[in-house]
Amino acid sequence: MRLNNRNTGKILFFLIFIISMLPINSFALNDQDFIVEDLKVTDIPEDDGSGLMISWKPLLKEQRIIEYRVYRGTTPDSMFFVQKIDVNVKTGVSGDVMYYYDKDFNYFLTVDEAPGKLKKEKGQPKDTKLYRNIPRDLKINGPQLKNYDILGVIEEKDFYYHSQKIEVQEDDKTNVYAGLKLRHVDMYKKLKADKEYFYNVIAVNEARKYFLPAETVSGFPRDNAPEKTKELFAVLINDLNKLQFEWSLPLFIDGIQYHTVYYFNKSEIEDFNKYIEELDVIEKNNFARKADSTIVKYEASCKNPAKMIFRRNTAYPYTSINTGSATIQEGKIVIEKFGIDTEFNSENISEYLFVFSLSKYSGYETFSDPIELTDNILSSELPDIPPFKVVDRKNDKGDYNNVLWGKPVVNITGTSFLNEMRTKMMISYEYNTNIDYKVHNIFFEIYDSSGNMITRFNEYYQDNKIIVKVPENTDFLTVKISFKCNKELGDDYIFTQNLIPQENSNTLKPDILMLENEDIDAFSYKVYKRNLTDSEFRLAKKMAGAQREQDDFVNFDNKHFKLVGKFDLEKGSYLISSSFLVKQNYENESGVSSNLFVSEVEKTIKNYQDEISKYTSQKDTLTTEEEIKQADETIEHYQNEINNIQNNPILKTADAIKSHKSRVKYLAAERTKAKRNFEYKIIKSDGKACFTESIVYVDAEGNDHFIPISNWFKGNMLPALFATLIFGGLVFVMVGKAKKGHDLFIRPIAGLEEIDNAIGRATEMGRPILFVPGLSGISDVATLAALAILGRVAKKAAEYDTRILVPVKDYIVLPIAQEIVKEAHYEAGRPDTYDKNSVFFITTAQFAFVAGVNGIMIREKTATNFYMGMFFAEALIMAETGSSTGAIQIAGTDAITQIPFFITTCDYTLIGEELYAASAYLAREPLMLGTLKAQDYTKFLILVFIIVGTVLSSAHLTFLINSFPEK
Amino acid sequence: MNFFDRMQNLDRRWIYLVVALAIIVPLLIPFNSKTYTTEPSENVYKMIDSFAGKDNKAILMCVSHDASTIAELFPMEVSVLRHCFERDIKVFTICFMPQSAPLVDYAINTAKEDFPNIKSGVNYCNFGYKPYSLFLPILLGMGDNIGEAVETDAEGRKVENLEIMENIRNYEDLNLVMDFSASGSVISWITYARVKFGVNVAAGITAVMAADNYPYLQSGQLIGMLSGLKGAAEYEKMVDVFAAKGKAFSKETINNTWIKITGNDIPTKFKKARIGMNAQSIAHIMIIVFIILGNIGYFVNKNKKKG
Amino acid sequence: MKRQIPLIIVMSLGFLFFAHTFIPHKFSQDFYDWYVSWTKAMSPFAVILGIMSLFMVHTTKIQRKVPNWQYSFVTLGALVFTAFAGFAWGTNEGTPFMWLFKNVQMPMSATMFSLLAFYIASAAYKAFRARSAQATVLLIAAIIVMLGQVPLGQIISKWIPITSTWILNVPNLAAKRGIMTGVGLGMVATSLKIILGIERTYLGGGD
Repeated sequence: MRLNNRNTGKILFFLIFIISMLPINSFALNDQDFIVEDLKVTDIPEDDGSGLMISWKPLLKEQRIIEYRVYRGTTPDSMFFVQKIDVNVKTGVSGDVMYYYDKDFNYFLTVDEAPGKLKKEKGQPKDTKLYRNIPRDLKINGPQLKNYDILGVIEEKDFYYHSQKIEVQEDDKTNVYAGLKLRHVDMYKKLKADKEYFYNVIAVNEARKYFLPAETVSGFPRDNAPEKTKELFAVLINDLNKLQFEWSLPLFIDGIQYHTVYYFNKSEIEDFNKYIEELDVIEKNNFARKADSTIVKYEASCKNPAKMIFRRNTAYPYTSINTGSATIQEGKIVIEKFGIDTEFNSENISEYLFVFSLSKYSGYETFSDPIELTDNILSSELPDIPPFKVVDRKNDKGDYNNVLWGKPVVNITGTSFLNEMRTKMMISYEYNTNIDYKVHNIFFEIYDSSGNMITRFNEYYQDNKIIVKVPENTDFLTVKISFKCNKELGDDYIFTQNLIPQENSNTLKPDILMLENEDIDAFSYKVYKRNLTDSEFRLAKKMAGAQREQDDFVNFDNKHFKLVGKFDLEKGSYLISSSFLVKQNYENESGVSSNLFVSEVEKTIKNYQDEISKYTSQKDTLTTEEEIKQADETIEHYQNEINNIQNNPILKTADAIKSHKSRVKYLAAERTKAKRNFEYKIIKSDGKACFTESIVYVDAEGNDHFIPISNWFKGNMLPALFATLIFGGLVFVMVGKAKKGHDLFIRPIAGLEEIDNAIGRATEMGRPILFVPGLSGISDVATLAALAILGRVAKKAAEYDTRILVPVKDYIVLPIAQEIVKEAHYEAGRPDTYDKNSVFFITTAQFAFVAGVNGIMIREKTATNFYMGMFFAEALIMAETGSSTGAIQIAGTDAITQIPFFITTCDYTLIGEELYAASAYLAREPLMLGTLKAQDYTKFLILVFIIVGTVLSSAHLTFLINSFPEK
Repeated sequence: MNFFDRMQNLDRRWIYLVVALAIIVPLLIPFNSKTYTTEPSENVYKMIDSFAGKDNKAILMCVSHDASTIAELFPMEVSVLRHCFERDIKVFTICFMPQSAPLVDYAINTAKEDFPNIKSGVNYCNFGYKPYSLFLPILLGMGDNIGEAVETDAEGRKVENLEIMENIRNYEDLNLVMDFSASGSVISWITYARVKFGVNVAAGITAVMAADNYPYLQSGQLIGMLSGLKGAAEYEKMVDVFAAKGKAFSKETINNTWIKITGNDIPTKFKKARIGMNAQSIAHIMIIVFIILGNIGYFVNKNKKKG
Repeated sequence: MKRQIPLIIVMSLGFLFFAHTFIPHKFSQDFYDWYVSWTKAMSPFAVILGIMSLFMVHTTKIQRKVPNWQYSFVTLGALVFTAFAGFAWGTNEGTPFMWLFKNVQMPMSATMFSLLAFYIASAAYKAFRARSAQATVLLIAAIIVMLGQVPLGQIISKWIPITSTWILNVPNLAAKRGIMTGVGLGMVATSLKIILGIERTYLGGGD
């Protein structure tokens, strides 16, 4: 079809018609059919009272729903958009019910995501109660803060240096807060327990029509008893008179304060069961009373017959230790911290049942099923913990500590026969070691079922597989594996692993790995750590029994987490507490905190003193022993706090600093140090309470806390540095030689020699030249090489007065290419012939770009086509079209997969490095030629290393290949 | 101008036409061709089949590709699911790419249509999409406890409470992981799940990427592999020959059995790969024929010139 | 000056990033992260250049009424409309922008991509001629690899798939690695030339 005015009109009309068809399916729909049904809100069980589950029946697949949008509010009159749930239009929803879980801390408000202003939801009637996201407008979001528990996540520097001191009058007192702007605080919300929340859901269809909401529903999140622990194991170490426990942790650990172990006599089981049943009744009664205040409180009648023998604070929000132990001394178990003082007769242990409980800050406690003693063993049966240590990981930014233990471990991971006779077998193995032991050789001794040695294999280069010859029809082998390392491992350090037949497969399967009598995989290592601000140890990582080290991540970035509940409309700030924890004081088990504002520190001391005097005066009026004890404890607590502030060396130094900024800077540095300073211990366990716990690691100098060091040089990059320096040196030498006029021979490259002829041909034919500088961006070296060639080609073309067309896919490459072509015209003395529009952008879409280039080739009938740079799947489509138009084509690329396509369709192809050499080749300048020559010599050096390395390692000498880094 | 001259100067559009027909015709009109099964595919089948009827064994399918490679990978997923449904094998699905989530649903729904008794949470369970940042934590966590690592399934149910999880705790039970991808993502399963927990790993992979995974197959780290449309076609055939008829695998039977894909005995969705394979074979053969004709013409002309 | 300032920037940043490769220190890493965030900010400005170029090329065509100038209207119309659709209704699933992407852009790209099948056939037809000994080796290897991928190869001989795999894994891989080594060195050399200011063509002009 020839294009003329009338046809253009037709095309435009057609386009408009198509576009007008777009929302076609939003007509003629009955809106009532698109309201979601069965919308319900239910409390999530076993959580900490911050979760609600919203469920509804999805609409039919035929209704082409694309997303459901959930709205939440604390009144039914205004609900804000919370989250959308995408649905695939084609497949629909496979279940009968859809859910949205509104739980944990999730997005509330951040400066990046919140809209500026409050907007009503689209497609709703004028009086709708549905709004879009909570906006940045403090007038709107401020009053919402009190409806949730809001966690503000604040960058360290923002908290320290952007906080504004804001005084607020509250209950006749002036309280000071740190005021921060929204851009400094990312806010995440959690629902508040026992508060009513309202929800609604709307559907959106394929044409993005927003349908009407359903009837608004509401629910209360309730704080529940924790989830029941599924597993508990209890072991008595007979000779040490020690009980050991191990338990599994539940999925949700939110709000759990204690891990506790109890015991009771088997005869008391009925009482215990009654007590458990009553706990359930109490929980139900609590809920019922919350919903209906007229219901009477259920008074507990049973007492727990179980006696506490172990308790620990959890490391919430981190994963706590899941093992514990209690020593029986003189028929008693005593743990002072928790007031445990329980009779325990280990003679009667078979009469005892053990039970584990999780208890929450809110007081709820859930017990596991009672168990009998799992095992009664001697201390010699406990696993041995190999010596372990903690060192700074080398060559890094300073964000890892390396925890390592034990000697290397090797295990066979699989086998396969390489021939049909089953006489050649490949054994795959893995080995684990740590920086203390460098493995030189691994020796495999293979025995048949009657114990005769078949072969011995020395694996001097560890490539994770060996190939051995075995007798025909082997179906059982024993492999003994030993190491040669930089350190002596001992003669009996030999691993044994059997290879046994595998069901439904004709290969042999590796059996369990044994070291002497220890089944390596039966035990696992758990690394626990604690920094100077933590009160409890937390799990760093659980490692399998064959692992020998762990890199523990120690973050540089320690954001501040603060509750946000108040705001100051006038100053446009969110108010947070200005105090922060600097360090933990382990002596009196309390935190050492300071305040951003020095005046507040003094005020805090005064407040504590007031409290002390208040309690001291109250004490005289108290009667019961319990009350007096409590008052004493409170007084002691405040006295401790005062001592903390006044005597702590860090706070003392800080408060002596006059300038506000220097003081905060000092405190910040101390906090960072405390946060990054970790101590470590290891527990080796079989998962069933048969475990050994190490003491905290102390190094030779007596340090027990370790802070990773930021390194200034990557030692493992040394060979790369050497190679670069050698190359650089060669460049200088060769450039010098070239400058002195030495004739440097360069192998002729046909594709480059032909460039002049190709341009000449275009000139003779009076047709333009096409130059495609690759499809990648400017950061690709291939593009830079292509642009260098463009410079030469454009200059030649300008001299011959031939048009050059340069279509570009990357818009950053565009101005550079334009500048190059322009300069080329100036240099050729033909600035008048430069047409800016000859270097032009087509599109960034890969195949659309090809379509554009192909169109140019056909319409403009280009005589010569250059394809230089990086190309992908489109290479053949372009080059084949070019070949069909009869153009001379010269290609150059380092894209290995595209080289064959260019070779078949183009007249000349620069393969790989020739593309990079082209610029130097064309310039024929000493500087350029020198580099090219240096490149040749370096390549020769690499070749020498490859050959020498191959020869040496064939002779079991692996020092050369091992001196190069693997990556 | 004789025939050979004409062949030498053949307008390329004739070639295009023949290639187009070679691809379109076999797709529209399926014909029966022989599908040979190869060992990597057979190993996958045998391993999965060995779990038949055992409620303490299960497989996990990890779908790690987007819609651009469904032509090759989708028939594989459907056949593996069909195999599991036919033989009462517990199957789990998971994906770590948001684009894969609908594909998993689509594959399950496609395979499930013919099995009215198969139920979610009982015979199969879709863990759904999990963010990629959780890939390693989940992969390693499943070595310990699947319920804890995965937490909830695609329908939001707590995994450990589902009926399917009875007797399934960790990799000891979930003994085969099959990764479907157009990239090298299966390597992570090998290095972490296989090495640490000894779980069997198999791959379903596009033909282009298959070469990269041969070394793992050779070393036994991959117990088997379905490569490209060919692998899918092989698996389809094995399911037809054995699973659909309730038989156990036998090497002799498979190579001596012809399965007719013409007719309506087998629904199209279960023979897609074989139909596609027909087209691929014909296209390859056409190109080879063209090359041979071109060469004959070249030699005839050369001789003529000499003569 | 016009040439020197960019050269100084290139050289100093080049050396800085060279040093960055060997310095893992937090200081160096933070500098790198800071720099990368700036490069991200740069590219949206370049988009404007691209769009301007597109407008200029096509308005010139329309003004000069070059042959088929009417198509330029289609290009510009599509550009304006797609951009407008994105701004007006967003880019979510179900918006006109997404509709255009799925129903215009994707099928057209897929069409271009599938052309490869035809082009490979015709390229193979032209290229694989037994002109010389080497070309004959290439021809035979090609036929074996092609046969190895389809059941026909297996029917002819069980050695065909095995040979096909061997060809791909041994000679093919060896050649690839050889090229890769050269490419790697070429990249280093080009980068070095740029950092040292030997190669300046990318700044515009020949020398």
